[in-house]
Amino acid sequence: MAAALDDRVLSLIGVPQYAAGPGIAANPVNVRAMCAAVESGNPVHWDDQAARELLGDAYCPATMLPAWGRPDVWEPGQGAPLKALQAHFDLKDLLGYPASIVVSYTISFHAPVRIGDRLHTRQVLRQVGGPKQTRLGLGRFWTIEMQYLDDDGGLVGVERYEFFGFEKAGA
Amino acid sequence: MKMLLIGDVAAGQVMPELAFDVTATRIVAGALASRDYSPLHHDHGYVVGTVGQRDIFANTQFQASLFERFLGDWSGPRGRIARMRFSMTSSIFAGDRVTIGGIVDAVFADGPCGPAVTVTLGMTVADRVMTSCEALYALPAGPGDNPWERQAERWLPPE
Repeated sequence: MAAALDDRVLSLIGVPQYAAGPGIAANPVNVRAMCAAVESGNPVHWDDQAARELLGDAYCPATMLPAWGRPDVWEPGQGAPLKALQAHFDLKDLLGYPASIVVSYTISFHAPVRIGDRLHTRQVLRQVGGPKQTRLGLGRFWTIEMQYLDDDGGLVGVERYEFFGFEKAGA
Repeated sequence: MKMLLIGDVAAGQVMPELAFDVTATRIVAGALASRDYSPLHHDHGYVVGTVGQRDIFANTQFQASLFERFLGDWSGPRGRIARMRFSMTSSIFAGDRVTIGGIVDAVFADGPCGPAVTVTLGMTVADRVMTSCEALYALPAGPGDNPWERQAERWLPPE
């Protein structure tokens, strides 16, 4: 495997891709479904009046941020099923790796999301490392961000994924 | 209503554990609530037959929501997460009983997001840590302080 990266890969680093949005409105149906799934009784997510009294507004759980940027499983005019984090799958294909895993995941919350907010998203490849041999096989580490923005382009949150893409050992 | 204040917390403080049964129904409910339609989180036949795992497993947002619930149970509703970093060692499968625990690493009276604490949380199955999480978590300075109103220079700057 060549250590140098293809120009097509280098041209992607630091460049926002797949700008999308506004997405689905942050809504109480999804919020309460998630709270129910993990048995969270936090009153600010079940009672609008409690939310206003305790927090000043109806905010969503911070960790639901990715839900407001994901595509639906199908949309009119869309042939193939849509994938979240398409920039990752593009890079995986460009590098020719059949497999990948998430090594670490960081999510930063820069502004709270209110019920009714509709966010914009974009994906940014931050870096691609050199070839590395691990117990999984020979591959590379890379970092991709999913950025969430408000209507004015203000940063609402960032998911940062570190992946390891690889050719399986013995394959 | 419980409301933990920054003055109630000290480095080294151990947080009360939470035991939780991760059923297939909860995994599917969490995946759909977070709009994550990957078959890894709902299609048992695909996961077992094609992927070679023993069952469907919890998506990242389910685990993040469980950690957020754990933090909220500890602090009360005014606690606010600024950042979380996950290290995932193994998957949480349908049928697993997880135990979540945590410890306060440091307390910051001011600074970005402050008053705030850094905590290390662990999600274990049969005493094995499956996911660990380091979080920066804002707490009220006093009964009239609301961390959800912090913004700009009083909150997390863009990296």
